[in-house]
Amino acid sequence: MTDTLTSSRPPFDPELEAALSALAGMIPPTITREMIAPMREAPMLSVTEEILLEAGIEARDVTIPGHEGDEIVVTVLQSIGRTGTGPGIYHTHGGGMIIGDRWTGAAALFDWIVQYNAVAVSVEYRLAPEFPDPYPVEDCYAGLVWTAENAASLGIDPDRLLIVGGSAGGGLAAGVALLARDRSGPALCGQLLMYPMIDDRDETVSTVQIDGVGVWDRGSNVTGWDALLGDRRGTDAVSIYAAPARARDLSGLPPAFIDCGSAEVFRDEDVAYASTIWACGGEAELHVWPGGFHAFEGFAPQAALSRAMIAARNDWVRRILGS
Amino acid sequence: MQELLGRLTSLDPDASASLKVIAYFDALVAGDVRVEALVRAAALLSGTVAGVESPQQCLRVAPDGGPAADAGSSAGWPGVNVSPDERVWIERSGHAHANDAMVLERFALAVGVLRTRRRSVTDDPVQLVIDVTRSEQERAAAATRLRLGNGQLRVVATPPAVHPTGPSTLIATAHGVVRATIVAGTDSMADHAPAGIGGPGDTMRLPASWSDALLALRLTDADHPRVDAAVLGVLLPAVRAIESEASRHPDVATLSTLDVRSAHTLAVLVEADSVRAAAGALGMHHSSLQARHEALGRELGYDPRSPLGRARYQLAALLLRLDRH
Repeated sequence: MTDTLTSSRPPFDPELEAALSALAGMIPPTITREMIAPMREAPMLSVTEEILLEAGIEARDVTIPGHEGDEIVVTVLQSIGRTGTGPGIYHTHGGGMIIGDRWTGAAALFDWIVQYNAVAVSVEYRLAPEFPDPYPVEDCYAGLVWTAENAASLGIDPDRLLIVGGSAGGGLAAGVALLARDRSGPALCGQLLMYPMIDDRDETVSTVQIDGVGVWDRGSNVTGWDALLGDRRGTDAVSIYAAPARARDLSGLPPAFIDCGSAEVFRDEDVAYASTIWACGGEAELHVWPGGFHAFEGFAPQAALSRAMIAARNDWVRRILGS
Repeated sequence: MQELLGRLTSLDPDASASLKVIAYFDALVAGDVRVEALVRAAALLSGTVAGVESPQQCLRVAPDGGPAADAGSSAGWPGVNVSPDERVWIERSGHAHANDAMVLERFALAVGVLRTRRRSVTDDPVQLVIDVTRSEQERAAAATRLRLGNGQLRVVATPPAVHPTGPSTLIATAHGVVRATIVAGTDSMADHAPAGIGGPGDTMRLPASWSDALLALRLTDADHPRVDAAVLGVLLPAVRAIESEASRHPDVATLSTLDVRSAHTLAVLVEADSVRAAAGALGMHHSSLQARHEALGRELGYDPRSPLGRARYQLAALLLRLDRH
């Protein structure tokens, strides 16, 4: 937009800034293409058998057809010894389109799985740059189709299928919701888009403001989109399913929940997405958390702002999935 | 993303991570957070419940940032005093972890810095409502914040460690740090000593009540642990008016030269209905006390049992207590 009024950014919330300073050295503000391979190899704070057991969750992997029929894996998560039917939660993980796996962020679903007797399906979509667009979003869509087709055997009430994703996973969830609408695919009862990555064009005020600071800054974002789209990034050759911020028609979508921090790259594209949904006669609940950097509730879950963010999501999920 | 990059969690019990602790608390202090955020930080970094306790509040936070599930207090836990009446602690069972001392030190320091900073901007409603230099509107607003109501109120002045029931603050006075507490109704204050009790009135009279209470506190001694301005009546403003020259007056100077036993005899003589009653109270023979009475009268230059002598004695005795405080 303009580069004259964007020399400053909203200050970080003090508690989040404290966490950031204590984590200094662990979080590079800017992720470059050269860092993709080492980041994939680094040990992740992933979900272990013990964590699952403690949460009362059992998991099993299923191989399903992905984009163009290639085999991909999904993990099905439910309460140990679950019976009956309940809502389905379809999860698309984050990681900038370039890193992470189907367990990334999956722990955020555990409470909902237990509380609503839900079944979660988390998809191992293929990552860029080895598998550029449309692999990630099409793998994710294929997983949603599989989940809906197998709703009966999974014990999922087909009228209560919620899609959930954070960061790149939020962008993929939004893209999958658009694909489901345009292909008359599975019906969704809601889309939970946590600080979604939805705009490849690198031209908002917030992307200029968050450059070299915080978490997942402008440079990281360009790295992610370049990996996904290559030379097409920022051109007219990008689909609304890859970059949902490009969609002008957001009617006919399930109710959306969108959140983000005021001090993150995705702020302006996320706010605009909610505005466009409303302009098209749809429903969206938008939360912009003051002083929040990207995915702050994961880094500092004890902070007051993190607790408020998680409580707001839980409240919305209760309205969508609760009986 | 946090799975990929790391998460701020409790510190390794065995490893030193002092830089992380310092960076965390420094950033919070720089951000001018509320004390609750500091308690959360201590709980997070230590991985156990942390708390802060003062006469105004007791706050305990669990490592997940939420309120501690059960009730509890600082008693028995490792902690640090921020000030004479505020303590921080962590609820570590068993052996201390390597970083516990550092967490507590930085926790206490941060709370202290925040308290000092808050005091300088004077948003303490108790401080405002008793401050005569504040406008009536400011004092009325502070009274509203305190929900003081329309009843009779008094200010009680005590040392910081004495906590009467009611909204309270610490005030640095020319005579040291004093606790000012606003009490409603007719609390006898029997449980609290030493205490200076200001006169009753509505909220607009609280500055005068505080001024009286502070003077009354200075008039306390072992024989008079609680001094009530309402009991002293006009004597209190009289003491205030002549305080500056009091110690130089011969009536006061003469009293100050009496030994402890003579001073006690004199006090009982003045208070008693008769010399005979005083002799009974002192366990002395009537005639012996009569002789002491006459001798004391010569030393003082007046008869302490005459109406005028009693007045001279009472005022001089009050001024002497002030002088000795």
